[in-house]
Amino acid sequence: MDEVTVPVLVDSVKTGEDFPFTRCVYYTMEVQEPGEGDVWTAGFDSLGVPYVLLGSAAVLRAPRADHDLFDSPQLIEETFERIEQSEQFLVESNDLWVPTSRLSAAGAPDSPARGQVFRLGWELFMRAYQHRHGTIAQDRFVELCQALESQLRPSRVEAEAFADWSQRQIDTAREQYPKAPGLALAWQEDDLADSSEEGES
Amino acid sequence: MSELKVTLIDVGWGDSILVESTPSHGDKRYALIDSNDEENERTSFTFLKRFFDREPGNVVSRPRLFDFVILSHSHSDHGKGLKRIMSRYGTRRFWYPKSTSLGSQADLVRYANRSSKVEHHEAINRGKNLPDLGDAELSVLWPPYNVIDHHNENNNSIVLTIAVGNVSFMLTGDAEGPVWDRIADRIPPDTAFFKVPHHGSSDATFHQGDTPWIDHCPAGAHLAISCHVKPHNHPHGSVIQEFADQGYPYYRTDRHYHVTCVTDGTDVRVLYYH
Repeated sequence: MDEVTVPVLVDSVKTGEDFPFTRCVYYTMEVQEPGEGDVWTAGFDSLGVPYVLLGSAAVLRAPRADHDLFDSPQLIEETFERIEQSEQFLVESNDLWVPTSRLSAAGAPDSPARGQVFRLGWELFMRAYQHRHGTIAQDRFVELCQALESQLRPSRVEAEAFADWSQRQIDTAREQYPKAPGLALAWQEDDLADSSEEGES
Repeated sequence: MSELKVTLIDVGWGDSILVESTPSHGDKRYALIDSNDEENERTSFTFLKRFFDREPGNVVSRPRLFDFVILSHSHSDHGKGLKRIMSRYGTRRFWYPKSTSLGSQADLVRYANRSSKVEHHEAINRGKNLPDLGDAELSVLWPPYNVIDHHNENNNSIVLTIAVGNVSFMLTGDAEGPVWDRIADRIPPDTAFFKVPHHGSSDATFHQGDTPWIDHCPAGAHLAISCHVKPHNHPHGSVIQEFADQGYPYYRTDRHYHVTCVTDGTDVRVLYYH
């Protein structure tokens, strides 16, 4: 994988004058506490330094070293499951903001929309991260986004894969419902009748 | 004597709400609504860890410490970090609203599907009969069971009442004006604490020239805002002005830090930390 990019999912689109930015989510792999026998090695030049992870967060940019894209729901599921097989590892989500106008320019006519996926080049991702954490000013970040516009591109195949994967989670929840029969909620008959008269909003 | 305590945790921006219910008989119960942790700033998690470490009775030894954890709606500033919290403390129930676009929060459902730390999970809506939390009675005001907003996740927010004795608390997610138009008349007349919806945005308080939830919120109720000043400038100045004009006492996490409201079913106190 020559070019380092990070997939981000559109979470919430803002177009107002106050803050015309879109919140995007990226996934991280986080370590909670040391695991049994988990000794890693960090490479500093030619020196390898062994260590045990106490706590760490790493941005997920690809499902495997030999596969660049999260391009199928199975691959997303396998990746997340594989990571969380180690009890001390969790996949988590985090967010940053990208100017809505930049996403519009890079994407389809309906961009940005919730659920779409974009790939951010590493420098653009770092700048967005810095902006999110207050280490560069908003005006400066907007300038950088313009200068780095080639590092932003839509990833439709990943958008479809994440949408399918998301639906599979709901389908699985339905299949296994009730996970604990004694804790499933009962219905109130009168409220059910009342609710049935309302349409979708 | 029963006690209900609700704390808006100051998470910088976004929501995270700890609910404690001490029944007249039996063990204290805990619930959590939302979190907004980041990979390197785990504000909710840190607050909860310190809180539970100080609780008497070694409560952290309970296999599932929370009676329930709620994701109010599928936005990242309400769901980030919930997995880690459920993984550490466990929950008997995990509740969330229906959505046609769970987005990244689908991973919470995946976790609930597979983890023994979440005993049961399901989407909730009005019409489902929620169990009591200690002596506190819970009721869902929104969403109805067959209503999903396909365009604005805020309007899929779970709106909840928690009541002890003659006192009700309202927890509102990010529900905006169109929701309040439909449910404002269901706000309990004994509401003493009202979490201002959507961090005090103008869209959640003003709707078509009206102030639907304010029009039904009892005078003197304590209003509390989980602020989102950066980057959205919530609460909006016009909303704060409206509260001041109408004489409501209000509290905001950007100025008062953690905001706690306590009741024994009769009296109500608000505590804050700055």
